[in-house]
Amino acid sequence: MSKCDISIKTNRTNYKLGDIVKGQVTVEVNKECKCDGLVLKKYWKTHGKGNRSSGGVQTLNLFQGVWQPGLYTYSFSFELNDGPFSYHGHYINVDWYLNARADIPWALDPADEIEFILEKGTEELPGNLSGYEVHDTEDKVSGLQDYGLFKYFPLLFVIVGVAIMYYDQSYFFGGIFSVVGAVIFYKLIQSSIAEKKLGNVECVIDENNLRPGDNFSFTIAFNPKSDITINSASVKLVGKEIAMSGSGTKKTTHMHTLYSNETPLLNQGKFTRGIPVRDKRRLDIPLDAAPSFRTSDNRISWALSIEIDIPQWPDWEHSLPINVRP
Amino acid sequence: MTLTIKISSGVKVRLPFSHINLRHNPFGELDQQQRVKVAVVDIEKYKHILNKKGHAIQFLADHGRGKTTHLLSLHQYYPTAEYTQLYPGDKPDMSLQVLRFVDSVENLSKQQRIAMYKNSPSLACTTHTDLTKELTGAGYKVENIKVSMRNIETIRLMFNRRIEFSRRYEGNIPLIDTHLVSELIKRFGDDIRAMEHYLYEVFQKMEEIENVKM
Repeated sequence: MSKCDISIKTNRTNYKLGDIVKGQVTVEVNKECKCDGLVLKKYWKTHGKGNRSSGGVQTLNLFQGVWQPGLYTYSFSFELNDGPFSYHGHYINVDWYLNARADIPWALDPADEIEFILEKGTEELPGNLSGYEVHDTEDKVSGLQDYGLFKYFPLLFVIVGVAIMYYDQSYFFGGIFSVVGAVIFYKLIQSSIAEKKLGNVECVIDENNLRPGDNFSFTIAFNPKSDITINSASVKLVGKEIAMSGSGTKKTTHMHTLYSNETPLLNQGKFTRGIPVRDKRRLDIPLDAAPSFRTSDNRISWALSIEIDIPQWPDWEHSLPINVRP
Repeated sequence: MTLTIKISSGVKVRLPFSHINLRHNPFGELDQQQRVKVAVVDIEKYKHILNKKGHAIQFLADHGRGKTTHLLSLHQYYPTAEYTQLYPGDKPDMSLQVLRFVDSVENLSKQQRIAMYKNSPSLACTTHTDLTKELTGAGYKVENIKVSMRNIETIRLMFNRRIEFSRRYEGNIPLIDTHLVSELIKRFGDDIRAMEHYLYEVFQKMEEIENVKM
């Protein structure tokens, strides 16, 4: 049987955006061998806890025909003009690959694959690098999301749960249904209830197009509808890796906190009805922040999580997504 | 005043897991083809059964025990047969097929399953509820395979195959020994997925090539 070995060689492993990756694909055959196509593919792929995603495919057809016994070398070059950059986190990794495969009829296709690192260069980045998350809206102002009639949907679970307990005497399943429904319903309405005392709470950031090392201002403002005491209030900048593995009922979400930094807001104490409350803080995106990234099953996301703790009353909670660019 | 709780991000410039001579974490998620490549399953004796009409193979186990890996491995011997992965609420087209592979068959209602049996002269499926009675009633001769990985040597082989699959260069790589597998079984029973999840974390923290420890 003929033997056909393929290997890829490049002169280095680390590249910056804008660099050109150059190298050779070497093919060694010991008998005459027909090849329907020697294809070199450059692409990125995620690996880690989430289902694998890939993209950025570029291909080069290096050869098609018949190889006589011997050694063949094919030079190639690809310009690295798009993202994402290589990233090695806890549940999510992004790496770039070169894959050479020869399509040999009626035989296992010989192949070779090597990785390379793509890093950010010193030059200004183009605005639309692939893979990075850009929010649909670049909202800088955020109030409570109105869930409309949807907020009553979890009550169906409560009703079904009570019905199961009443008619089926199945207290375990009925109890689970009722409790889950009640908790979801409470979460959906809790901040609206808090606003009965706080008034409409508005959160504003001066920039939602941030880069690692940037700082930005966050403002919270409301006009209390009644005299109110606040135990504490805070804004937390959180960066997370969220990876999903499996599918359907076997789908599992793995979450890893990359960064969490809490800043206290307001002063603990009493606030008077009708007197506007406003607090402004400067917050920093850490220098080594991983950029917001999204594929179908792998996501790096940043958000501000804001909480106001009101004694003997539902707390006000809200999350404001932040866009961290590479 | 700000309180920094945790910082653990950052892009590293070296190739991933090169410090332990691997290309990726061996216990990360694999795609279907990769799962078949690293599978250690004993299905040799079933590889011709489904060529005869009226046979059904049922892989039965709880979640995370390797039912899908068994079914995928068996499917390799019948590459032209239709393979269907079912999710709750699915209503797939179950028109006549000489041989059918169905993952998570319990996601079909009993009525849908009975309709499927009529259009499937032979069948291989995974389920976590025993359908032997139903399959026998539909006229199949049933091979009921209870998937349970408790054999220390098989698990050791399976995990080391995953590590080998992640190998970067020739030379040493981390290895899993029987002592560690015994400890894993003590802790996780036959839940292979839970063991893999645990080992993922171990490999994330591993600083040098060594025998894997708990």
